[in-house]
Amino acid sequence: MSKRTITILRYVFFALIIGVLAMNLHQPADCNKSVNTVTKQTMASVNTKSLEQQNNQEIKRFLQLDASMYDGIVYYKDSDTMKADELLIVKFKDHSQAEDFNDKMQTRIDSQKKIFAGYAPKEADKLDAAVVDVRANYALYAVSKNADTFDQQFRAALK
Amino acid sequence: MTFNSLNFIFMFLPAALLLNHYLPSARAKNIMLVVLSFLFYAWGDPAALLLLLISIGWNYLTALQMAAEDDDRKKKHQFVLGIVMNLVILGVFKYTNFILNDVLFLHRQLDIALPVGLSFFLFSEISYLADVYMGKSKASHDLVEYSLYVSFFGKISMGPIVQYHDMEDQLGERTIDPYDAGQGALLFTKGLIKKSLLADQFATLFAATAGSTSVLGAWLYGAAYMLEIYFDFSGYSDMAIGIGQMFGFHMDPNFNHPYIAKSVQDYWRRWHISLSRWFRDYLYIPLGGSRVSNRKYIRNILIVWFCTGLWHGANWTFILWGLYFGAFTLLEKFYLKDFLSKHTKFGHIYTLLVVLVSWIFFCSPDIGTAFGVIGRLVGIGASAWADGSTAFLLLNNWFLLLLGVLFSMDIFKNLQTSILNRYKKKGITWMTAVYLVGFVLCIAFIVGGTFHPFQYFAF
Repeated sequence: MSKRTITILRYVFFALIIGVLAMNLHQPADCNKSVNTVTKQTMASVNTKSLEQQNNQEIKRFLQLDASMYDGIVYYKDSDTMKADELLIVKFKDHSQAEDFNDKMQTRIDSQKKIFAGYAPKEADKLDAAVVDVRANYALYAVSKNADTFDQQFRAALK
Repeated sequence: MTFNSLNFIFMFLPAALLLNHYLPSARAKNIMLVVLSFLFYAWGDPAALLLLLISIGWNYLTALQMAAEDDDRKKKHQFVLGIVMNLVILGVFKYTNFILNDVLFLHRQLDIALPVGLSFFLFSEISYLADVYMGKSKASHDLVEYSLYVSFFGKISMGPIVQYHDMEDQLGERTIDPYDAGQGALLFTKGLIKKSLLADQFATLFAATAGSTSVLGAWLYGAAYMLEIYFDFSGYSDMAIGIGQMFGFHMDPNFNHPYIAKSVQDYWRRWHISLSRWFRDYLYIPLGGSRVSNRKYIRNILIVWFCTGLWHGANWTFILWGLYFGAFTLLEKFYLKDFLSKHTKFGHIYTLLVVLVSWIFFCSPDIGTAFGVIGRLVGIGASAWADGSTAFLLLNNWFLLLLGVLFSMDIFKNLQTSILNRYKKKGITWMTAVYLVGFVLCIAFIVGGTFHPFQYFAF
């Protein structure tokens, strides 16, 4: 390879590195919609009949989240206790809440896996494919066979 | 994909071994290994493969550019630019949120996923550039061989961080001796046993003691983590080195029974040896090492240990962990060296205590929590000397703890050698049976879903 070719290729790879870094550093802007609007759009055209909305006490009980700390929070859980399906959407008051949210959702996934792993492998599989998606001031946690659909609709709802 | 998954043990590895055996030429084998390594790396996170490919291209071309330069100043510029870009990649993916929140206090959390093995393969690539710059190695003109060095699936996720000049001669043609391949398989099995039968059980014990506020609870918490991380990481390293051996690569051991060390300096010649060597060869010695004034020596030690701590994670606890060892290194160099060399039993106990406390910094989410646990070790802030649940855990796990203590020392290695020497063929049969039973038990644990991810994946 000639020195000129090496130099040109190096510029290309330098640009690729800058491009990859820029893509990762670019973050979505905050969404001003209400959490109820975002939730409605997230759950649109998906069969969610078995999901029941939970109150703040149940949010604290199951997820160790204090609802009063957030600008908005909506939590759905399957009415059948033998199912792992759940959906949570939060609107942060402050971006610094994201790290704690991630940690708590991981703890939830781990503890649910321990419960379902032994006797309900299909539910455990849903937990392996669980989605935790933080987008600026909004976050989604979904455990469902439709988790990816929820995530796509969640991201679309934030635009 | 991880080494302790069924996919890897029963599909990926056997397929790779068969292909390696039947492919006709060294070149074909290398291409196959590179393709499989990329597949292995992309398995859980295809997007991370793009970064790996770009970093391979960048570093490969940087070394060629250095080799093509006649002017030493331009060569140095290319080298520095090469290193800086590697460090920028590492910095952005690993330290952005730490810098934003813990250094600049901006309370901003960016959604940046840390690619698996980033710290490990970037350090390998920095080693390559440094070896070419210093003249220890020639720049590679074979992209396949260079890609194999960086991405070989046996070491990309969690090391060992093999320096380029140590692996250079093995990248072309390799002879696979049947004895070596057998030893490799044995080492892989040993590592799997360490991980599945010991590390994962200590992980469960560690999690169970996390909430304890008693003195005994704090000690059991520290001891459980100390044993978990040793068996986890040394188990992984054994598996990595064993895999390498099966394909004709010879990598140096990464652990040498660190918990029998008689001083902190001795400990770091036995724990994560490849990382210690990397920092020694590429940071400590270029800074001047110990052949400088005392003031500069202290500066060099603190810089190296600061960087060692920072490498492990984006948190002040890791930095403090590193500086803690730096402080003990200086203490031993200036005050304790002679005393420790004459009082080895004291040295052993002192080292174990220093290391146990260090692990509490390592496993704590923040400095306050770390000091809280350390305080409870000596009764400060403890609710009681002992509590019922900790006593229950100790009673139910005493045998596991005993096994952990024994196997963290060189007892098993000496016992195996003694059995093989004394009983010859019968000894081989017995040891084979032990490894087979161990392997089957590991598979049972993996199938049962009772396994934890590797600890050092997080770095």
